[in-house]
Amino acid sequence: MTAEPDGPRAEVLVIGAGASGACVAWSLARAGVDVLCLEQGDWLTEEDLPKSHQDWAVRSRHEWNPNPALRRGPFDYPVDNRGANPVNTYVYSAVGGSAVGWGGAFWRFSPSDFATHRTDGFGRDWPFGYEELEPYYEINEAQMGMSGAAGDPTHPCTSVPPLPPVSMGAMGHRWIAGFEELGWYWWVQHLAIASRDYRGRPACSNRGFCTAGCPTGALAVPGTTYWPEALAAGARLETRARVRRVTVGADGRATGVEYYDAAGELRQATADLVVVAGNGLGTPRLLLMSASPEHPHGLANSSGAVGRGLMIHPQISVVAHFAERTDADHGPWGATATTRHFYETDPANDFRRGFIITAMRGFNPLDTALQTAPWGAGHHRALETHLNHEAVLWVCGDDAAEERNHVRLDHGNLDAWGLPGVITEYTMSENSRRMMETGLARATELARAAGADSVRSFGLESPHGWHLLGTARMGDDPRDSVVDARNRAHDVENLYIVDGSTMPAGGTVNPTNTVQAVALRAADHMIATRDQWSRSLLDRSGISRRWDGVPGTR
Amino acid sequence: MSGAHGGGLIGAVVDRLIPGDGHWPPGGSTVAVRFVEQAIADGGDRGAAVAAVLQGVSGLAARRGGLFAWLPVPVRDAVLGDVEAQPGWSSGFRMLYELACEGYYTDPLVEAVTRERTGFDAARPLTGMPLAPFDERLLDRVRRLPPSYRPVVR
Repeated sequence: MTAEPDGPRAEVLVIGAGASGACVAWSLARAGVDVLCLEQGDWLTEEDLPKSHQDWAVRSRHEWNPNPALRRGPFDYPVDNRGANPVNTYVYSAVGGSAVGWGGAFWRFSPSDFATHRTDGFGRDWPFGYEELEPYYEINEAQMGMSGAAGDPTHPCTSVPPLPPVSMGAMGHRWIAGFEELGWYWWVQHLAIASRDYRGRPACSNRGFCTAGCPTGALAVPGTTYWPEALAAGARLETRARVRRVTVGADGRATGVEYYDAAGELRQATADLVVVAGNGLGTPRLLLMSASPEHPHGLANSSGAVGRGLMIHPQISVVAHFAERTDADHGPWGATATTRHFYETDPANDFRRGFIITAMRGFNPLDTALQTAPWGAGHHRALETHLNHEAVLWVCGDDAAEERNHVRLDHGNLDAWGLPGVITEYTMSENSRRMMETGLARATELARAAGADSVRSFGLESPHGWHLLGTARMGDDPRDSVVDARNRAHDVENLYIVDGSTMPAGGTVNPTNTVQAVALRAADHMIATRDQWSRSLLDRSGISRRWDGVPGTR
Repeated sequence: MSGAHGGGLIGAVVDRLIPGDGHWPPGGSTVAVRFVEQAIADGGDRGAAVAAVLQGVSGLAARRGGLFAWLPVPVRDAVLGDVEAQPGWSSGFRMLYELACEGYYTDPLVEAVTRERTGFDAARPLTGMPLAPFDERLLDRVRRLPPSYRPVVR
């Protein structure tokens, strides 16, 4: 079936309205570029958010489950996770993408994260450094409304966050006491959560359990930060639009996309520039689905790197038990404090690179019961032992891209439009295992210093997949990477990829701030080169030009 | 007892999965029963698995002397333990337990006991509560520490 060329036209098509797609649409629209974004999901309403409902903990396990294989939402595509350590892949399909059910952790990468191979012989280097992203971090932190504090000696950033730190409560102070007891570096958690009223968003009211949705809007999500301004600036956003392929003309340039609209009609949207922002799963899926006789292994995939090198950040959670109550029923869940004390490579360790430990809060009654309480006579005794007496330390480490860890199409498992799902394959490296063993030991040490009388931990066998990175990596060498240092596909001169899939190395902290900063930087390049790709500008100038890049902008 | 698994089977089973005591209500007197019934009515893999487990409970109870609800408590628990240990039923048994917990901890009566017994107030995630602003003086020691990041020269 061929799509009729009756669909919409724009200068730029953005595929995906999540954290990175929103940034690009916002930036381009404000520069006067005609932008259309196609999003497979829909706008979320307050009704959709679990925490708008008394049974929010139940909804969080089902229709709001971050794992699409368990959620089985109407806009999801199938995801089958395999390998020695099958990843619990967490992605949402909605305006805002996976940044709708998140905790708001909002760190910047450190300078060494961009040069891990050069400094530590680990992973891959970025084709640019931290200083390139710094101005875009500033823009993003203002736009998202980041809370935090200046002066962290474990990071070179000197700018003052737009908002002061969020409240910590007694549990936060208990964790801080632990950090101080050990003499470690630590810092107040940087969060995309409004600690004060900010640009129309109310201050956080400490409801907690942020990943179950924030009905007040204190937690920054693209739908309340970037999108209102992008739409006001003229961007268009079409929801429930399932893109099935990027189309390419005889000249090798992208011409647009074929997609199913909300009514299920196959349409062709055309554009001068196509931007893919589908995250570490959706982006390789779309590129691989866009295979053609000219691109038999998938679009932009002459390197074979599309889908390869999946990174997830090895993670382990240590649940500390305290004799005292832990106030688990309130306070921003991801906040209190984080240490980068173990961030860099330490020759004394048996692994390279390092990890953070983020001190968080406790679980709700349902999750506590399911984690700790047996059925039968001992049920309530166990619940009373654990509920409101626990808090979580989350260890997150650096992960090198390995070719065996990948995403591929699953033609045996189709979505509602008959398009293939994806299979992820992930096996944790020995370096990651050793790193997490040390992280577990250090987190246990911190728990004890904070007054915990015991700890339990979740294993490594089926890791969290909040951070899906590296599957369309950036690099200077077209033989070994998918996009260049400006996020432009090596193989298709008017195709950009702007999400976390382009990260050649994933750093050690939560990546959303960096994903968005990279997207904003890429958008600036699109704007700077508009006279080379925009048909309306070329028609107006009356001259024929071909893309020749912008010298000196690296 | 209700639904296709009448005779009080669901309530009796949930009563043993989450027994009551002097403080906590038994599962069978809460909305946990409705959660299980609804899952069975909804069908699908989960509903079918849970229904199969309940059939298994009923069958094993019959072999031990009668309706599950009429058996002595230790025998009821032994029946459930046997069902849980059956490879063909173990995942369905876990689903049944999860459903029971989902319903139980959503029941307003249980929420009130939870608040009384553990201090966890289920209303707070819906309403929030004020907390004192973070006192940045807590950062003073760390602020005075030397820089601890690796500069990278390109």
